[in-house]
Amino acid sequence: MHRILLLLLTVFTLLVPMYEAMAAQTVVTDVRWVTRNDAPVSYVRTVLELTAPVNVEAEISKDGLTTNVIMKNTIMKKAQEPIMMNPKIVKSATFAKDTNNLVMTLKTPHPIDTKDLKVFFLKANKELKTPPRLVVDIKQKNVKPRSHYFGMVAPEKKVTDKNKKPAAVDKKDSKTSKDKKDKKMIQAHFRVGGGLKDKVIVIDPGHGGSDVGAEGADGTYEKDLTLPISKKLQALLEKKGAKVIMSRVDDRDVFGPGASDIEELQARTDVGNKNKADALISVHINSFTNPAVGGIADYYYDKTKYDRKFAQSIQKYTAKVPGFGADRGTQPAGFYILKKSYMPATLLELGFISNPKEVKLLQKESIQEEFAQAIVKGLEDYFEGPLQTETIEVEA
Amino acid sequence: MKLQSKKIAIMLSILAITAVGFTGCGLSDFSHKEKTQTEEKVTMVEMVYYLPVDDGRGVIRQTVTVPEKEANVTNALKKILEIEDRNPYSVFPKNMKIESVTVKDHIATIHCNEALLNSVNSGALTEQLMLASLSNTAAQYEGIKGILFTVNGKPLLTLGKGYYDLNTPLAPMTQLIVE
Repeated sequence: MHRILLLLLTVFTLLVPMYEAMAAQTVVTDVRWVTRNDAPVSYVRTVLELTAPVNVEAEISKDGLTTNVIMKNTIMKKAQEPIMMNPKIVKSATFAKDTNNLVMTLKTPHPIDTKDLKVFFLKANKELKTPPRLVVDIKQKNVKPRSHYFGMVAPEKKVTDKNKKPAAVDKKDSKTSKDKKDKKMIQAHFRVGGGLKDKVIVIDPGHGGSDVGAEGADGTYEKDLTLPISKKLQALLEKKGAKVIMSRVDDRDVFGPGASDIEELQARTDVGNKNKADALISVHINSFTNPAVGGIADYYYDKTKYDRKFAQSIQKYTAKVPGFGADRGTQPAGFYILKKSYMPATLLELGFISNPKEVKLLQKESIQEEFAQAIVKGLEDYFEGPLQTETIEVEA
Repeated sequence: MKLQSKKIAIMLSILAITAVGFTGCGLSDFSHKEKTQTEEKVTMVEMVYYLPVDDGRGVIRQTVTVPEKEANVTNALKKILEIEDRNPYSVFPKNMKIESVTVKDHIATIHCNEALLNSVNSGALTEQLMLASLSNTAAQYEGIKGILFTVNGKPLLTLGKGYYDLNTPLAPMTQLIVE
């Protein structure tokens, strides 16, 4: 009897610390990676979603070709196959268990040193509902830093009217003092009036890369119509002296492949915010379940007193492009890019890809050109009047 | 022998109870039923919901008469899916289900199955009318001022790389209500 009791006590004594150790383990629930080009030197970012913060060590092998990221007391939620990444920056990532630790091994094509490696931890974000994350960045080797890249910060603009009072934000979006205390607020500036010349205009060709957008009955992708219209618009605006920044100039995801939905939408918004744009235009083609539905619409979000006016100025001309259904007007909508941008913004829906007649028209270069010209006319109307700089308070 | 008599007695009792149960003609039982029917008078009310119109102009008010206790936000939202399931131009993803709806601080959180994610890339108007239908319907009940979504228990921040920001409660889209 005593022996049995002793055995039970021993088992219990062993089990308690084991249980505690298991309970304290951090679990990697998801792994994703992306090549980031929004910096002077491209880099591969690997993001590990975790259940809790983790102690991490990183070591680079003597030949510089292998980087081990050791996460203490961590396990994978499920077995992770080796990940093939960017052969120019980080070739692969593999995961292995080492006693209680999890080791992520990153293989690089060229030797790296500590200056090329950045490992940091991101706390869980209640607002964005994101879990704790471990981020590992490895820079590309043997390349010259770019002078221009997506997301670069434009030089400071001249403030032409320093005495101008800040623009009133629509009541709908007014932040209470409590809201302001809870959230980090910053001031953002944009210009209105004074014509198109020198204005910073961001054009966001909707979708792209892995995100094809809506699909027409004939197999046309929305991303393949938004890009040529945007490029034509870019050319026309540059002729008028505007500084145009495109969120993408070819068929790609703006954030990069494998990004979360929010990351991709925020990356597009950031192109406008970081470049301190005066206006942002997101070009899209609409889609609906009933193929008979057609027409042209512009969307806005009343975050400044100019958003609605901006959308109306453009709709006035785009709705006149012949061959399309109804003028569906300007409509308020809580679209991500419209809400989160720091300047007047509009999202254009230039016809319906789901409408067989309209999708055919949209593939014609002449129609794409007409839309581009119509948008330029709208912008010219919008920027009429005396030049002034407006300031709004926005969430950082 | 004693044991056998006990068994028979129990079986007979069971048979007797079952027989009364089946026929249901005991006097006391009948009068009880009548009493219940008189007391539980069912009040019928109109349950309001908004359906997208097929020409894409917006959403239209509809009603169905239901017992008062069934006229709630969960049933109204489920009613939309039930009707739209038969519509060839439905803006709702196939097999989308509303598992439940919870209301807190005037915000309704609609708990859906993962079929909702199939609305990705359905187009701005499709997305708009789907959300207008749900938000305007929810606003008819319990002082609801906005809606949020979860899919398989996880908060839904956007409809994929679509258009709407669903990170904050989506207010009713009254501008899309048509006659």
